[in-house]
Amino acid sequence: MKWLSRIRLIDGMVITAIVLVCSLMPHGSSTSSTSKPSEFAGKVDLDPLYRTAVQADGRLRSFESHAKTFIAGYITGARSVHGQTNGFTYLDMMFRPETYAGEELVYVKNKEVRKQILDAGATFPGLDKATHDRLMEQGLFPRTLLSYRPVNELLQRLERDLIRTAKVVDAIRGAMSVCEPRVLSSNLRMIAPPDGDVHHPWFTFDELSGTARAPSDNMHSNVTAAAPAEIPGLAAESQKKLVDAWTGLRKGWQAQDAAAVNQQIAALADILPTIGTTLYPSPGRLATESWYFRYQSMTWVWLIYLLAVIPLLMSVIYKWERARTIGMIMFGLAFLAHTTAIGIRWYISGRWPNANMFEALTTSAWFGGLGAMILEWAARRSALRNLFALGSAVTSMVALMAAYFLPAQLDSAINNKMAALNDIWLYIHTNMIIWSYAVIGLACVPAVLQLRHRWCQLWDSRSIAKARLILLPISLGVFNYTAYLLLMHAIAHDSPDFALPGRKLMAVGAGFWASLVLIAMEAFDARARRRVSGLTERFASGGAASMMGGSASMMMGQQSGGSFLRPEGPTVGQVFDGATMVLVELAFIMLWTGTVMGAIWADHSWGRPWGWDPKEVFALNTFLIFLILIHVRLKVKDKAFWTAVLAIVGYEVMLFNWIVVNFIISGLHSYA
Amino acid sequence: MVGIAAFNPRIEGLIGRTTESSHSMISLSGSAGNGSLALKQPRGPFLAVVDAFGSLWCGIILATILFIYCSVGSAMPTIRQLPSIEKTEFEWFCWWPFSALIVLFCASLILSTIRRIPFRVANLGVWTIHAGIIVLAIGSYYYFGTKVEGDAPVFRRSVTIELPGVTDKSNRVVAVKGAHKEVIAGPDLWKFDIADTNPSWPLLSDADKGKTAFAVNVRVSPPNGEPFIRQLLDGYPQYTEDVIPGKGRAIKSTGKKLLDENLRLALDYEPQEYFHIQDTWALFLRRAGDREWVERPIEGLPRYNNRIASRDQVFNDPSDPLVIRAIDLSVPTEDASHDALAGDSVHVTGYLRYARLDRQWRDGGDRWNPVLQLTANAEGMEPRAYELAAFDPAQNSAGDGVVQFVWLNDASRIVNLPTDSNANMQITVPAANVDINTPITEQSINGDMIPIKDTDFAYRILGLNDNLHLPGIDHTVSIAVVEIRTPEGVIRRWVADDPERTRDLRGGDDPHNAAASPPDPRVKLMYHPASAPILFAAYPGGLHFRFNGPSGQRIDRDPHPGEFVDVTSGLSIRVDALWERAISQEKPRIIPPSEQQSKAGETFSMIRLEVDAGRGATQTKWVSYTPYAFTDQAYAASGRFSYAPVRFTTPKGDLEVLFSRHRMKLPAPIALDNFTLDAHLGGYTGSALTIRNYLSQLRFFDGGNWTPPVEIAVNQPTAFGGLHYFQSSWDPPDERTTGSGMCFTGLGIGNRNGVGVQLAGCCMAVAGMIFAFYVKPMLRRKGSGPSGRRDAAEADEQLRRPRASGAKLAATGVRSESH
Repeated sequence: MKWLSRIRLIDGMVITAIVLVCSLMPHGSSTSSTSKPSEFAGKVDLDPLYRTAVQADGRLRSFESHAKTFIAGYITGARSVHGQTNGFTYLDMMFRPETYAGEELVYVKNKEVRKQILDAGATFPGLDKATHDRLMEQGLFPRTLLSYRPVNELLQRLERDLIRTAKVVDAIRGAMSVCEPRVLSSNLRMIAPPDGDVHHPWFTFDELSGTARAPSDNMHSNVTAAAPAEIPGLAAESQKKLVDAWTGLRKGWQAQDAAAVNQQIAALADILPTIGTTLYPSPGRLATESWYFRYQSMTWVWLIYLLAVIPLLMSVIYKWERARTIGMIMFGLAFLAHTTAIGIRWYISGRWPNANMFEALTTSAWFGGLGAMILEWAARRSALRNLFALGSAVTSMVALMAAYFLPAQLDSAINNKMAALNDIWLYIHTNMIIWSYAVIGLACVPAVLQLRHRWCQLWDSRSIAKARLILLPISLGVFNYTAYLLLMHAIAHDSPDFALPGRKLMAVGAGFWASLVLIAMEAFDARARRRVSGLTERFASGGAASMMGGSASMMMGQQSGGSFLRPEGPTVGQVFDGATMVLVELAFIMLWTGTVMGAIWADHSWGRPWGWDPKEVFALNTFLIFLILIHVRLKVKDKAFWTAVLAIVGYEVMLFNWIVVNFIISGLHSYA
Repeated sequence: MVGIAAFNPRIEGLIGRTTESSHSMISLSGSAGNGSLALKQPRGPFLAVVDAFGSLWCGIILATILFIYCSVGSAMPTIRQLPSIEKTEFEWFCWWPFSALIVLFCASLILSTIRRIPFRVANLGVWTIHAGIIVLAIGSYYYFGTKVEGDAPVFRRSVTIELPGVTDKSNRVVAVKGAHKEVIAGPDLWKFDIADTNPSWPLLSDADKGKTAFAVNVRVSPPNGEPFIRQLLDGYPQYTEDVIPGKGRAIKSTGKKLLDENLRLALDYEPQEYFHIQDTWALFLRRAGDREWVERPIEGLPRYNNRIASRDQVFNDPSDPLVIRAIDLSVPTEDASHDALAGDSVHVTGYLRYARLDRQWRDGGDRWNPVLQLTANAEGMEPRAYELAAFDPAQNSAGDGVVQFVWLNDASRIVNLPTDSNANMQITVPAANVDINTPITEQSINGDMIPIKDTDFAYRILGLNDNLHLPGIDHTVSIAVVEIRTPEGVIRRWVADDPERTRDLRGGDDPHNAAASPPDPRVKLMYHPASAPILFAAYPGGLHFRFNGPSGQRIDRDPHPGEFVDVTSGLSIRVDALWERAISQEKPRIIPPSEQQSKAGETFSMIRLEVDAGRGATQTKWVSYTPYAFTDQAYAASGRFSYAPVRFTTPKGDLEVLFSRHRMKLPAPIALDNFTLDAHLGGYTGSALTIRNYLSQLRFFDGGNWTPPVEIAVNQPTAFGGLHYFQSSWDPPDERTTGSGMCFTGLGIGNRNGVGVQLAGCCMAVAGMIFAFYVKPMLRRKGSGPSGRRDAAEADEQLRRPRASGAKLAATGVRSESH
């Protein structure tokens, strides 16, 4: 093969398109409105508070992390308000709620509900066309609109529909109640029990100053304080200092006096860690946690992965040594950053990060990277090199992009594990499973490259009209997408998110059948063609066997071990097939082992190793696809092609299991 | 294998491998009919089937069907829930088509392995994998074939009650907030209510200071005297003491810890003897008055699809889409010799998956029971319908008392209807010439005695009960309960709005008690109840409407059904129907899917039962599902469980019926010694995120003794008597219902036969995979394996001739990749 001759305009276009799409995608932390942080917000220095802790949901969070859970997690769907930090918004909403009454703040996830709210509130004063469109697009609604009578009546109606909309309305109502200054202040448990009682809730400033019954906003600043809480072990002096600092902070904030605010914040940050010192987390941990959450939980690492993907792709397709060097360095850097993110999370939460969807996804990608590193080392002198790094870089990039661009769906908040998840077998099981998922993702990359390679061969052979060739991948894409839509319609036809209304259903169905017919025609044509031309590569690689048997021979053309090697060296198709198979074999074993370990855990935990739960069944289904793959290879002539196709199908079934089964077809595993 | 083959030519043909040569390898690549060597011999139809079955494609097709079957069962529950299928997830995967698929798959696997994969070191991996899968299938057959899975709540403590003169030692009540028990001791009736429980009551006595104990507060209502609270502490009977409501500890006011030394209350285990099997149905029957239930399993009852014979059986609107499909299942007794109720014939004639029992009125009864249907039209609001029943205190007013419906036995009583929007008490003492009319306010109820001016009498009002329907009186009566102090002592008087109904009570609360007597004539009281703003008064043959406006305006009218009455500007009321002798009808209303809770399961299901009532007649009632067959209401007192037995009248006496699940006896009764919640930092807040673990200390009653406590927790089950017990649910604290909770633990109980075999199969498969994928290539590479070198040589041979025939090439592929 003359690799250089294979430089293609189309590859360049694809890479450019990826980069463009990535850079043009809406930013994960886009602001809710165009306005900039106020001058006051610019002057307030919350940094000292980032070293203080808040007790909530059975754990200690840093102040910023707590604010993120409340503001971004419960209210704004991870959109920041005026470009303010979540911590600032938290305090501002608590001290000056009146300025937020009409703010576009409450995130409504469901588009259908957004539309219904806007229809019901059509008569709401100030709801012009531009506002209407903005609300529809961004999904952030002002509280005034949500409590507008017709809208409220609509919400009451929607609340009664338990299957379709009750959850959405629940989220809206929850968000609106969290906006209340009283809820915000009563959840700000920042004062550790001085006696070090682990099971006692931490104290709020309201309890401390005896204003627990009145919100700390402007309107209530004159309310006479009730008797302050008796806090065993707290020196009167400390209590006074705290109350003074808190009162000062509140007054300063309400007067928009940044200097006074900064002074009181510094004072609070000094006193708080001195109370209940045995319980207080280290300032380093708190600062790390705040930093971590202020910077999107390090999901921006996807950009470094992107910088690795491009040169690695070049090195794979064009065999450029320099691209390989750059690509491997970038991949190493990205993996290092990714490792740092995992490590920080581990450090902050005190447990291996694999307890919710965000953690499962990012940790899975990290496992993929780890595996790729090992495989790259093993394959360093074989033709398979670069492919594992490339696969991992692509997988990790996609995973971290998902976390970066969908923060409302993939909540990165750190919570305690469910009690059921504290088990060593479960630990091994879940980690093994997500690792196998990553390997399946990795395998998908050389499989896609294989199909691209086939496509290029056809393009070069000039045996088919170019228009047909361009249509083929498009119809494949349409087929996959419409099949997904129809499947979701069949599964969740009573959910507004997935049900296809009549006309849309017709369109999607038409797309499905049209693309299916096109693909079938091409398939029959290919079958007929194969009889005459023999374009297919009959000699496929043999997975790990090929690597072990022929890592050296692949490079040097020896015939000592590998069964598929030809004297002149492996073909492109064989290389992709080899990489796919190495990964498929790994995934095969890991998925099986992981599932068996899951059964061991289930038996151990529930006395029931296998309960035909959807999650279990689809784990079995994913395995079945790979089982079919391995056996189909024994029978078909065009092994490389079918391997690639089935590896992609297996990847899709895996994704279905991970996303659809987890979120839609809930089972016992819904917390993982 | 080869040995067997040598004996039997048929088996020889079956395994298709006479010599271990590459010929057989080639024959495997071409499917039947592809001109392979094996086909050159004449073959019968049996071997043709075997050939087809043992081919790899057959296995692949079966795996694909398996994939589709699994996907449909899991992702599309609507399919398995079709009326003709009616399978739970578990049942779908124990159904015969699935078993058949697995059997075919295993058969194909065995055949193709024996026939097509030479048994030698290089193929050890694939042999082990396939053998592992067969072992797994055998283990699973045993496991799923004998699977028993259920659950049981185990309550923590019962309160045992000992009273002097009561020999029955079984008087006990489960320690759950709200549980109630009545004990008859001679002529006396004692009432016991569990007022509260506390799982961690801090002890303050010196030696035990700092410890906590499970505390139960029992409200004791003795036949004579005031009720009091007895506090019991688990493990510390010496600290038992009484508390007088409003006065504090008994020791402070009376000097004694216990107000009644003869009443002995203690805490004891509440052993659980049964567990209920999930996804089953059963009826439980007993004669009214009995305690123990007799079970009758129900076979063939649907689960997901309603069964009703006609629309009349439910209240749903005619526009609701309903499927009419009848069912008639006889529920026979399991074992006639041990069933005293064996003669009672019971049929299920309806099933509803998700419904609510509703009550509605209709005309045509034989007793007075006035029911009024109204529609209120208020400006700017949707019209609202009301249904008022004069004799039902819960249903005789609407709109927070704004609308009231009363029944008069005579039209002439209309003039006596209350006119004042305040309640008044008219007091007359003829001797002292006193006649006063004082308004009754909220403050004057249950206050201090008010002296009646210029007399020796004083009174206080204890409570008001308006519009009562008393037995034997054919109109509604309003009553004020009043205490009157006379020079001779205190009497209690029921002052009615109808002077004829006023009674004095001596020594009891019951007005029909023999102690009720005509009122003391020295002091006369007359109660004028407050008039509701909107009052409807019906009498035989007519209806009167009265509006008492806030500023004294009054409207009187006799409306006819269908007529609108303008009450105020903006509010009009239409009388829709008035039935004087209404009877109520109870029927289920099927809840539309959008209003169903998604994880409710069978919680809201019910069956229609037909019971032989003797003389050819039957009695039909709907019976709601309850998850556990509790023996009495006390277990369900906290509201965490339901308990709804339905009573049928049969010739042999009343029959009580409960609709629940099949239950099994546990190998030994289980007691819950202790149950604690392990919370995360900051304590339990109600959020699941704050829970670290649940810890149940269980004891089994084994050989006449309780075993030492065994701790089970999440991920920490225990085994006893062939069953496994694991933590599955709990009693969370909830201020509104259970109080501090923790009164029971929910155990999941099941067997796990064949798990070891399953695991062995899985491990074999893993070992085989590792061998096939990684060990075999290494053997080959080193050439040290007995067959490795030959394989490699063969492969190289093939590779040097890339344009060889397709069959041979494919064979190479097979060999090089046969795992």
